[in-house]
Amino acid sequence: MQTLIDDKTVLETLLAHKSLALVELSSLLGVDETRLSSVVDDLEQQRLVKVTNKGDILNEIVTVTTKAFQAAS
Amino acid sequence: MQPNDAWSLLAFFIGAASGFQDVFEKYRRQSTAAVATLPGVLYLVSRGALPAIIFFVLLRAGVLKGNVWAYSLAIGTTAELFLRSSFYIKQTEKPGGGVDELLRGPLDLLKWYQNLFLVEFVSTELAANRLTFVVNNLPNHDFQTLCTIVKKNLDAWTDEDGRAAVERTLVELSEAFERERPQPGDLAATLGGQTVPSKRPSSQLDELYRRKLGFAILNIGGRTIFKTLFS
Repeated sequence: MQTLIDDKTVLETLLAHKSLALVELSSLLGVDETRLSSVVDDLEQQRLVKVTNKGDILNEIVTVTTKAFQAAS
Repeated sequence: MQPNDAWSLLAFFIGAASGFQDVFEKYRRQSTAAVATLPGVLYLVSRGALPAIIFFVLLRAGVLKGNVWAYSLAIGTTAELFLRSSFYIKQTEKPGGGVDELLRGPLDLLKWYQNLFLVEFVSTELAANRLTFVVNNLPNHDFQTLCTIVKKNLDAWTDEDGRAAVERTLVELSEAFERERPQPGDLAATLGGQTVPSKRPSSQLDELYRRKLGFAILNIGGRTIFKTLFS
């Protein structure tokens, strides 16, 4: 059974780690990468995260932005 | 160059030391790794350069005379005090009672600069380093062989909680891998007109699970245990 995941959970995990490879993030949250990618896309549109190596699921790196950090503090 | 120019290094050191404190607050045990990245070095240099340049300009303008080292010390600390200052702008009432004070100043700019360098640039580099570590140190075997290697080496680790966490991870990842792996019946079902959920190519799925296993072990035990379990 797949774990449901939302923007808030992903953002909180990223704020704690600042930056993670997508594979590492999916491993930590126990969710499928495809599902996680759509959440990350949503966060990217809100400019709360930036994605390096986008589209390359094995090498994608997700980093929180200053906007996300300032909103959290 | 004049002999007194060298005192600008004192102001530089004060600025850079404050910069390192910022790094330490954000990264704690990973501070050394963080300052070893290119953005980390640039951050420390930029933080040290500001007071050093102010000192240098004032020295060359002939403003500083006498104990030049004391001026360097004073400029280094004053620059830091200024950067960490905020000014009261206004007070607003909170909806639930109490008041909020609006403060603005150089501290806002410093925080933005810290987040830009230390969160966006440095952390991306650290995540890339972790990814490189996993990719470079995973033995060149498929996922299932890697699981067997880890199981075989697990007794070498004396930490019982760690061993239990690794065992749980192996079970969870193996089950997920089996679910996602293309099955022999999938093709026949597709040809027979049935809808079969799309699955990744075997090679990509295998690499994905190799890395998932690598990151999981890295997070549970760190780099030394990673190397031990995959040896």
